[in-house]
Amino acid sequence: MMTTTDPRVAAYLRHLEQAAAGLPPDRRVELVNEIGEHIATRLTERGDAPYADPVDVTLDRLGEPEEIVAAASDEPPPERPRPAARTVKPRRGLGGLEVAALVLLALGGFIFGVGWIVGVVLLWMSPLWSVGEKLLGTLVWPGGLAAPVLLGGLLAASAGQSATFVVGPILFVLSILAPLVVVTFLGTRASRRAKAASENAGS
Amino acid sequence: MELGGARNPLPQLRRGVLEYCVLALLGGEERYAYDLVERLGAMDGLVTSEGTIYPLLSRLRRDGLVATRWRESGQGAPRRYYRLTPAGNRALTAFANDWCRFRDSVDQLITTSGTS
Repeated sequence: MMTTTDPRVAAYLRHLEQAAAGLPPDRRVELVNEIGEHIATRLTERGDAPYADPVDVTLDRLGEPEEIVAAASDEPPPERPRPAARTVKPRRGLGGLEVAALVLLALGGFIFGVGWIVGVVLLWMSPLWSVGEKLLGTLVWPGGLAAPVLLGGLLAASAGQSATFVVGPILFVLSILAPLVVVTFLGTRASRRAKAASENAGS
Repeated sequence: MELGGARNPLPQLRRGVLEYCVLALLGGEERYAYDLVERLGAMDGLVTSEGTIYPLLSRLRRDGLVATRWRESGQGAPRRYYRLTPAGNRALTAFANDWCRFRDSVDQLITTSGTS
């Protein structure tokens, strides 16, 4: 390997070797040798513009030793940076919790009324519904489908009173439909969010 | 004139694309390192630090995209000649496809925005 006696070149190569201290030894040696050869080749082969100092031009074009070493130790950048953790709540799929909540909201009233309460607890525990939706599921309505049964019993007991004769059946039908509608609504919301969450997690 | 500071995408672009430029130069024939460095350095805006091409060549060798052999040179000291491997060829072809699509899309936007 041809060497040059210009002190600036020697200083540059020393600087490079120091900057490359973190590299594995064989790569460091190879890099310093290659750069040294490059300098030597360029200084002998190249004619630079008049008044341009060939050493200056060569070292300038080579770039800072730190930058060269950075290129030597760079891992290839990741193809796609991992997406930042999403702030939207759903991070898991539609699971047993949600299904149990919905079933108990609808039918839990028949289990001594307590089942519905458990349904409400599960409703509020799930991350798949917003607060508004949880309130909806709680208020519409207490007892779920057991409520119409109760209502039906009341109606039967008060049969004959004209006010209840008209309003009663309407209320009765509403009290069946409302929990069914709410449970269906909550169910589709949850499953759509769970699906979106699992698609996001996979990307 | 180049954008300054953190918003300039060129440094990253160069870093990402430079190795494919090397592969492209090797597509036709095998070359030695100094030759590669000279040619890339002569192209406008492609390389800011010629020294970084050497570690890049080293990595391409480690990754199996190029292979090397020593050949006697007229001046006496043998030179290390680089050539594409089949894997390097495949990588180059894939990049060429991606790049053309990317370049055409960006060009389209830049020209329709009336800035070129």
